[in-house]
Amino acid sequence: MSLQVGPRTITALVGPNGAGKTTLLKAVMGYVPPTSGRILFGGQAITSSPTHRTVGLGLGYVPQGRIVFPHMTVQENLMMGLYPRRTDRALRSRAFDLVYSVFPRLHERRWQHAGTLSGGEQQMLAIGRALMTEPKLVLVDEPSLGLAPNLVDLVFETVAKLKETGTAFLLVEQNAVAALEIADYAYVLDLGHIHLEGPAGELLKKDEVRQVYLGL
Amino acid sequence: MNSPGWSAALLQVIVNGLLVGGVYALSAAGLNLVFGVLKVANIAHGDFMMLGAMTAYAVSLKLGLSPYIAMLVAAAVLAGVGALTQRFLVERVIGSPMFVSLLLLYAVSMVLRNGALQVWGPTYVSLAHDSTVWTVGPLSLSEVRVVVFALGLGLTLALLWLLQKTAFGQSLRATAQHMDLAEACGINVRRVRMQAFALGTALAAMSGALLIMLFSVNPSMGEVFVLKGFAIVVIGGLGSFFGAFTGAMIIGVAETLTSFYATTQLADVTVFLIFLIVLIFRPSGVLGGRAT
Repeated sequence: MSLQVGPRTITALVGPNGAGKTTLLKAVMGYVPPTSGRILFGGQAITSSPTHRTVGLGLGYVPQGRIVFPHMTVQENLMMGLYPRRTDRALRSRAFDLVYSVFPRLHERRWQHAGTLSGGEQQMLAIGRALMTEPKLVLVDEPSLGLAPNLVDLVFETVAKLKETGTAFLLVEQNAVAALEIADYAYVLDLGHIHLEGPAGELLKKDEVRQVYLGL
Repeated sequence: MNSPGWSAALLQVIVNGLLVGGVYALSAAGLNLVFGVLKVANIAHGDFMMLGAMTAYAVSLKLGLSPYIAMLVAAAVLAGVGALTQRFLVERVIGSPMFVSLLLLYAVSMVLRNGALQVWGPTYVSLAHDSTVWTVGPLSLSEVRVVVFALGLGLTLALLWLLQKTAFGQSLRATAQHMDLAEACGINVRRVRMQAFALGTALAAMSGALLIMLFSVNPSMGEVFVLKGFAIVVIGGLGSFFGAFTGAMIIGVAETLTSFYATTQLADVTVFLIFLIVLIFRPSGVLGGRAT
């Protein structure tokens, strides 16, 4: 398969369970080695490069399941996101301003331990943490999983808003409608292959996609 | 039994126990750190303590260094030994079931203990020396015990500061709390694991070096001290630094009380009796087991 994510775009990766969406993200991040093929980031080969190095190049990752450091405060979690560029003071204040303005809720709870946050707040923190280094591209795995519908809307609206700040997103989602509505381009994955691809608006209109993958 | 001499003796024994507890706390902190970051129960910890003690002893005698300088040398040497052990042995079994790392570290323990027996023989060594005795009210405190306690306590607090306030400590805590997420934060978790293990063995070495300023030990000491270490960590609640500190004090006092009022042989029995009682009634530790 061949897949591309352009700068300042949202690319959605939709498809049923077991299609290989999460595995694809993990291969890009360097958690699992790809059996074959090449992964390029800004023209640079990152195939099988260790995760911490990939992150250092400007990739952000929001793993599935609202993963946070439970025994650290909200602020400390965000500081961890800043880890590779922790000495950059200008970036630090910029990044905190951005994340706290996008998620005022996190600012209110900044001294609270992340383990005591609600599911929605943890997801905001997980996304906020990945934004701290001002990455060029953020991979987001199933952000809507287990969230109440109003929170799902909030998360997707936020991702759409963040695109305007210059960050590209690769979004893996089972909630395909919500993902296609904010995406510029989309791939439909099935059993490890790209079944369909195209501008998200067009895919959303296609009867086949609507019936088979969106259940509409 | 109401004579003032009786209560003064009890107080003296309790204080002596607390003073020994400082060294135990330092050793337990190392055990906790390695368990937290690597999810590995280091059953060779007692043997690293022994190597630290032996190194400090050799350095102090051969080079005529003060026992405190010898302690620092032992810490540096054992940090190196720990880093190599982690890089070439323990790192290979990260992510494997617990029994694999237990077997591996058991093998390391056997090699270190029997190697040390070959080199030094089953003889006891000690850096204990006469020291000033201070009289404080009804208590008499030997200077060396107080200094050793202060060092144990000070180094434990220094570790806590390192973990809470430095970027290095942050990388250790993040890796302990969620390894994959730590990687996603750009942390080189392989390196962090090696640093944590090296720090753990350095702490073991320092506690071993402090211990021989009070007692004499032989190359087999690891066997008892590793079990005592685990007892302390479990009594305090696995992963909790304040818990381990409390556990160390409890064990120090229980041991000294038993040795004084019964026999030295019974001291270990008391330690493990407390361990069993805590396991049965408060399995998450006396402080409830809040992870760091």
